[in-house]
Amino acid sequence: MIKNGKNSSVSASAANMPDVRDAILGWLRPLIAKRMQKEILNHKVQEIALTINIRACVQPLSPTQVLLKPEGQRTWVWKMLHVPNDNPLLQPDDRVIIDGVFFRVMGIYPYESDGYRQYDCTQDYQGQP
Amino acid sequence: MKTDDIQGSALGLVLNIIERQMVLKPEQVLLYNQKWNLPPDAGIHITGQFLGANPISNRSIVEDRGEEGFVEVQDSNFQEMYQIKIMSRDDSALFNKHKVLMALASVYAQQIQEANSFMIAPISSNFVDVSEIEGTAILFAYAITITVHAWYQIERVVDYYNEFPGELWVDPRNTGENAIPFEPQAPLEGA
Repeated sequence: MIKNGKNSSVSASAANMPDVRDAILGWLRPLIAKRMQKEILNHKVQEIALTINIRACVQPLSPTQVLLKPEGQRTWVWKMLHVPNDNPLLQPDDRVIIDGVFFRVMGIYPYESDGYRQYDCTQDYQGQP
Repeated sequence: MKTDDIQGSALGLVLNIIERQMVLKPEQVLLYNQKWNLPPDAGIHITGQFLGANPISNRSIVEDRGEEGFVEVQDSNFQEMYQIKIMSRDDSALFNKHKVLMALASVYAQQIQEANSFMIAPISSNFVDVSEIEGTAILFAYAITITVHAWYQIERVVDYYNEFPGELWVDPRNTGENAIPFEPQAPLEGA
């Protein structure tokens, strides 16, 4: 039976979100990510990078999404990643190389039940790939 | 006091004293402002933060060291305030917070102060509860503000007239010129 959108209540709309994994498969491109393992040496955090491969759809933030960021963070370079959930899970502070530039994972939106995860990333100006 | 990294800095030495006297692991004591999240496990974690300083003296003295040449010796003294934050997800910070101050007044702390010519005030100026909710836990956290008298010294060779060009200002009535420029020259043999 075809589900008609008009029969869904507004409050139940989130529960009705479809599995979008198949829809974004064609938009994906391979990216190299760096899982950052942390160790403390002489009271300072040392990061050890472990390379992993993922496939992701890269999207810049819309002006509205940028406006919702805290004032000091609006000038940062933000990217949004859509990653099917069969890819390795990234953690906050992990690095992703996008077009030859490091980005750091700042936020994770785990829409696992809908087939993908979304990551908010900002440009990491410390170091070059 | 060496200042170009944490190893010889007053804050680094304070953290070393706390780590040793409270028998903590290296990963439990660290500098603030780093990409680090409090681990979900139980146990004490300590961070050291620089809050501010009152400069007490700031001097520059030029010493003639013979063959070494002229050496500028700069030294400055600071009364520095550090905030030591002790925190834990379990109650270990609550029942061990006093050990931070006791560590800073220990025999080992006095030896480190003697060896590095700095002084930690044994009584903190502030000792407050900064416990807060973090996620589904309530973090036990205490901020201890301590005062440290630290000194820093830098030595560098001072440029002399054989290192840079200049000009000699003279009476134009005698020379017809206001200034006579001169170029850097190697010192005279035997001078």
